[in-house]
Amino acid sequence: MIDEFSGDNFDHGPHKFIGGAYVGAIMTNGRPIEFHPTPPGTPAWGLGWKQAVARHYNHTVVLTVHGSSHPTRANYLDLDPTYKDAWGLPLLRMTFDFPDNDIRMSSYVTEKAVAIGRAMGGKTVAGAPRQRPYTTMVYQTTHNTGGAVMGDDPKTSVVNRYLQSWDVPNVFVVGASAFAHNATYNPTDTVGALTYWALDAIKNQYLKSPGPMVRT
Amino acid sequence: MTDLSRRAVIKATGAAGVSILPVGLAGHEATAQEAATVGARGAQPTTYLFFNPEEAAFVEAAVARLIPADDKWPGALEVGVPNYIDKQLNGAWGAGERLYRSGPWQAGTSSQGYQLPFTPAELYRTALGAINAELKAKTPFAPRSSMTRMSTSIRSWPPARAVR
Repeated sequence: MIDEFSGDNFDHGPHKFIGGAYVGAIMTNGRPIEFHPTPPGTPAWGLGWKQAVARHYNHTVVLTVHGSSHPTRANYLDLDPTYKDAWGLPLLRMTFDFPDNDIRMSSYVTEKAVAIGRAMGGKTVAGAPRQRPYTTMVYQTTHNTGGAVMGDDPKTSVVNRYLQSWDVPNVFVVGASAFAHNATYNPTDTVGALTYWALDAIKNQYLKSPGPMVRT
Repeated sequence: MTDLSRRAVIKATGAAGVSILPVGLAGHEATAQEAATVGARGAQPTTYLFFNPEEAAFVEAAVARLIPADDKWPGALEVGVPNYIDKQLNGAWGAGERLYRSGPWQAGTSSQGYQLPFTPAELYRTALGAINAELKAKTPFAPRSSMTRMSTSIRSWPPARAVR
């Protein structure tokens, strides 16, 4: 795993984007149904496909480019006006596509990963930078963030700095929902830290004097 | 349920996870050679729980074209892919256990994935029926493989969870 192209670890001067991605040689495993790498130009089925899979299955390395995702006003979650769950409550509706910034970032860092792949001695190196439209058909990691963001103003945020709802003080929303900005790495550690932070406030402040812990 | 156009049937079946050959490609060649290969390799007979013989014949021919046997390795037919699909369709996956199954159904976009009201089992039954009906009307479909002849077909229709 290299960190040279994540966050602000490199000069963004000419690149027209902020953020970045880590590059890692990450093989999760060789799922026989999901993982059958073939070089570009391989037939999609038939004998040619089969022989290419047999040749390359055990001779392929995956370089992962795992990038940041920036919040924009056009990307949001709301309650679906039509579809409901088993209890008749509205489903959550996600409206999302990659902003220009993230497309440029993915293109830039993927180029770097391809160069690394060539330097590793790969006979065939193929990069697949992110493209629009965002699709649910391809797994693109599932560390979704945002939806009930933390802030210091009830007009522009859902919870205060203790993950306490501005509107209903005995409701605490704990999770990656608190921050809309996914900054390259998986957010679970941040979520854990926020949980400890909220629990400490609940135990040492809220339970002694229930009510809003931040006055506006 | 059976008035899907040919294009819709093929596209929809692909979305369920297994690509079915377009009819034009599948027509003439589920060959005796493929059938013979099964026998020669001594494959275990498959007891189909979901597919009827006609459906099984098409699926067997289709997977044999998608991943054929060669002189080094068996193909999808020889290693029992139709049996795997059959058992999946006959179980919870086929019944759409994890699918959201309340309408209204809309065409959706290509980035939104599967948007049809059918469970996988319903989708296969509907699509294979339409394909076989069309093949009967035009080019007679291939002779059945030895695996199909050996198979016992136990129909399990309708699936556990009925159509709305």
